[in-house]
Amino acid sequence: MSLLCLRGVSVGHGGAPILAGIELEVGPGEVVALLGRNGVGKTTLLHALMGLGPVRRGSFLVKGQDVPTSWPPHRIARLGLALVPQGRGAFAALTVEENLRLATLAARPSAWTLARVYAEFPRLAERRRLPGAALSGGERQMLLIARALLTGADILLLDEPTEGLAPLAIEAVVVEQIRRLREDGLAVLLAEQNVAVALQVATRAVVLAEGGIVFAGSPEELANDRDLQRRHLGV
Amino acid sequence: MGFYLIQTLNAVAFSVLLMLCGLGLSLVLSLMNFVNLTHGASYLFGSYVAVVWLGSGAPWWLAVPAAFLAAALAGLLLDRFPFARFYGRNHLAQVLLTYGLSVMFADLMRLGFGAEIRSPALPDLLRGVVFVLGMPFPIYRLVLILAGGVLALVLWYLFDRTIWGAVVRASVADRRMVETLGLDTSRVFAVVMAIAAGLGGLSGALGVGMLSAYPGLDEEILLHALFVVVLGGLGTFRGTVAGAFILGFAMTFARVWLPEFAGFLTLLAIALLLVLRPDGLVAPRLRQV
Repeated sequence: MSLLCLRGVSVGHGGAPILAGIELEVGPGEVVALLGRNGVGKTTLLHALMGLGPVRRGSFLVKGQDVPTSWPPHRIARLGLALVPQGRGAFAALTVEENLRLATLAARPSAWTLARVYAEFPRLAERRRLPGAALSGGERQMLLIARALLTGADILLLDEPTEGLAPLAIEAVVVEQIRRLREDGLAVLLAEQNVAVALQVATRAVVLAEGGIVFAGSPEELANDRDLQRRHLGV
Repeated sequence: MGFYLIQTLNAVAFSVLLMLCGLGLSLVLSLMNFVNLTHGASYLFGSYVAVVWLGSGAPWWLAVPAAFLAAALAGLLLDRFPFARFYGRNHLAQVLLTYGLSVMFADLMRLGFGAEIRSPALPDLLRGVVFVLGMPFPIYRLVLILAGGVLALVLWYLFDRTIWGAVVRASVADRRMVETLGLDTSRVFAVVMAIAAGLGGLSGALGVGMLSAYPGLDEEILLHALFVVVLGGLGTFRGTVAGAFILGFAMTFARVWLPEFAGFLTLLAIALLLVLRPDGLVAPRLRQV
């Protein structure tokens, strides 16, 4: 069964939709890369799924459960959905530990505990008393991923996790973590600008352009389709 | 020497009262961006609850918790209706709503508790005076200073050191991100509204032995609490404390030195401070990463 299922979904900020006719399924252990030029609507789509403001139409199912548009974000989150927001999104004035503990308050039962996070992300353990504002880009991304895991989510929406990171941090944090999520059987929807990294970790790829999906297939297929990449991804 | 020490203690007692009241107002304004002009009514309501409680022969030391709970319950009800519908609206709409409500509450309280000045029947323990350097000082005000200080510490601990305080602080910074962690922020807001209104009632119960209770006191208190919040700077605990002490000392000593110009001098001091520090004494830090 797919964990995440979109049927004829359109999203926008009122008025004409930015994306329409989106059909998408993500199952356990799948990483679906959501590619497209800047401003095509990747973040809008992720925010709409999370209930964060953009208008959503069409049918959106999480583990077979229909999600009405009237649901507030916390109710959607409790279905097992977590957003790893772009860049910002860690609470700067809160300590690393407070940031993490917030995610445990309404957590679903899972194998993730604060102790396990500290064991697997020793950098965060070292910096637990520091405010979120004191972290480097890579550490912040670690914090955001760890926070999402602590909610007990099994569906992760990652919004451009490589943005602003150095190549080393991309490899050490983003690529390694997404591989691990895949092995743990989580469903990942990965919005990315960095096509190379996305194709490296994805099990499937979707290209957004002109207000809808223009390609859906395997990463290899997309990697070989130079023409499509040039036209819609600017590679 | 003794005289000035007594006046300083008076100023501290008044400042503590302003601080407790200002904290409730500041909490709601900074967290929910909601201008709650019914805060003065919460204060006066707490005062009346304490007067009635102390007159009823119930254990006197429960008067303050009773006032807190009564005002907090009122705040919780107001949050459900109609406040929740106005959280997303502009300040003018909020001012019209809450000012209108505060006028209604003032009339209702006049109807229920009478128009005369009501003073609480204090227990003997709180009635006497202590002599400080040979000058008498009411025990009640000492208790007020102590209780206010302890309460401020408890509040600071609650909001700065506990995980629930972190939830509130995170909601101030980015409500939507807190929601994505599965936390219902509208419930966080309801609890904060109840605590803030409860603080208003609690300050009323503590202050009634010093200021008594009478129609119109609600507006006086509201105005002073607003001064404290604006002077201190929005969203900072330290700012509200500093604002309360500056206002408390300015008012007390203006009354001592130049009683004819006390109001004028106090407002002049506030205006000057605001010209120098338009964002308040402690400007809120930027919270985004």
